[in-house]
Amino acid sequence: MPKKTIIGLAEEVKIFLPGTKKFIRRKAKIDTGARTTAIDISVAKKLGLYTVYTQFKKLFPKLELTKHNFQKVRETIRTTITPKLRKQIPGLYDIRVIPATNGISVRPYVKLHLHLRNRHIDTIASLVDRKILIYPVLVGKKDLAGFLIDPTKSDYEEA
Amino acid sequence: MGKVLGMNARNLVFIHPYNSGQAVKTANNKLATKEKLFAAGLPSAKLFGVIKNRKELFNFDWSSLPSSFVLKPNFGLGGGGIVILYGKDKQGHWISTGENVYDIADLQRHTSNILDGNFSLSNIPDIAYCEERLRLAEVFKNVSYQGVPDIRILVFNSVPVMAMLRLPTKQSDGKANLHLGGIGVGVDLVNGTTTFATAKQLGQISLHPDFNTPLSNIKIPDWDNILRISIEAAKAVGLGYAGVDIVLDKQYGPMILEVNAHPGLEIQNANRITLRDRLDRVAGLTITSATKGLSVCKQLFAKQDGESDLLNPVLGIYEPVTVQGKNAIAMPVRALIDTGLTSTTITKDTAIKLGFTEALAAIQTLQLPASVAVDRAQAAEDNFRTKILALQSDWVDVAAVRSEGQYLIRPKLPLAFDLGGRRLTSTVAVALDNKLSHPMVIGRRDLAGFLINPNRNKK
Repeated sequence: MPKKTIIGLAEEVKIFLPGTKKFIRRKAKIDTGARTTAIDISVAKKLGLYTVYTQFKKLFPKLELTKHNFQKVRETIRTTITPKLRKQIPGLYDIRVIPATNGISVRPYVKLHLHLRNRHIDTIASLVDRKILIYPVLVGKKDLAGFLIDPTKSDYEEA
Repeated sequence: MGKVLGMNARNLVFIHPYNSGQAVKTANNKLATKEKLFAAGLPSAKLFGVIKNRKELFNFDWSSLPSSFVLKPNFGLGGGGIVILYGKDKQGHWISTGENVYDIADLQRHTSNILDGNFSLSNIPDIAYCEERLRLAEVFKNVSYQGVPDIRILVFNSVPVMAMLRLPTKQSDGKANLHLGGIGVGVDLVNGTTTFATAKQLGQISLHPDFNTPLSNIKIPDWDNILRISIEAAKAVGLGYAGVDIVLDKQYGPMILEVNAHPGLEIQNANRITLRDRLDRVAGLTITSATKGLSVCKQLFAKQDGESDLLNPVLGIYEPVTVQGKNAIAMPVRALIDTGLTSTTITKDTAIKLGFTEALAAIQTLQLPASVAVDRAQAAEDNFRTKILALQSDWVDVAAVRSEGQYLIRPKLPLAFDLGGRRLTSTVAVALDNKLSHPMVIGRRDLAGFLINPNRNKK
């Protein structure tokens, strides 16, 4: 069994600029309640992915999303809107409908290469506008395989 | 992580060189073992009678036995053929596990089966014997189904190298054997406290399947004495590599049940520690006394710095939790482990099921907003805290929870729940709008002392 790395609730990650060996360092929140990783638009700017966010906001059609139609809308997005926007917006990888506590949101996803402790992680991340920025990066459980989380290990700053 | 000890290495590197043929023969023969133990002044259950053949069976005076005893095959293995009799009913019949009742004819029939070798190693004709029944120690009351648990100490070269508590369950029919469905619980050698638990089919568990009681952090009394006895028992039988089974009797304290020459390897799973390294470290040592063996054990297997957190229970992303509600309601729920959330939260529906109807009715009278803007959050939180404390005695606090650039105000009540083998008491937020992905989500405030493995029990 390979040794698992023990990490805390807050960790520094390196995020690589797409297709390069250059990276930026950011504080990340380790969030087992999130499925995928998310980065704030401020980070996206540094990575040269900000236009993905702005273009997405501009080109994504206004849709009425409710609890009842969201499965159907999700299907429409998957089959028609996503392929179209992927052609129009370089760097856009996927569009996903996320049911959150406070309503349903639609988020653009980009490919991302991360480095957390001793592991390189090739993944996708959503671009979000996280207004209060203690943690501009949020690492979701999908990218936490091979780690053990010790909630007492690091100093976690509460918002 | 070290090397797991497999069966071949166990046999070739440890059992064959360290266990002589004579010693193995003694260990397999429970009566011969008993004799050696008694000769060495070691504690073992009192012998009431031995039945060697049919003639002795025919002449055996069952009425001379006390109302409670155990009937065993001498060459039995894996707990097969053992009948435990707890006492007599009004008709003078013996009561056994699972409401089975035995009269003298039943006991004769069973003894006859034993003599025929139906429960012995390779079905050779066997001897039956009756011994005193050992009774459940208080400390294991909440984690044992019917029978008594035993403590397996693996002793190598007069040094205890690993220990495991084996607990009887409903599935194992009150027997402590792991292959029958008993639970194996790892024990920290240094302080005799239980760590992790494993059971056949169930895998890694934290609660007893029959009682939902935590299995970790049970402190086994008289621990150093148990270790010392195990060293001496291995020595008395002449085994260099031995699995010594000890029962902690309510009255007598540690009693040796048997000594195994081929102890199983599951002890590694129960402890989540591999054996090979430990055995290699002990192999070359000269141990002259049980005291020396005990002190070497404690020095070698004391927790190293930084290793301590590995003894924390490991949680997956979803965990079974038993929540203690009002009026002794104990409700099992599947909870999400969410390091992104501060306070543990339950839905309104969960709160209703837990019996907090009065508290929920009271909160209807307050106009709690669904959410508030960031700049108003602190003021709103303070305002509602004052109101809620005066409202109804169950409510003790409020939480302001960040969500999508706004704050949700959630009232909090005190709640006890069992997670990962531990009882936690916390103040838990209630999502009054029921907007929560699971009936219960455990937040990071209640996750200290656990490790979270995001890769475990994903779905």
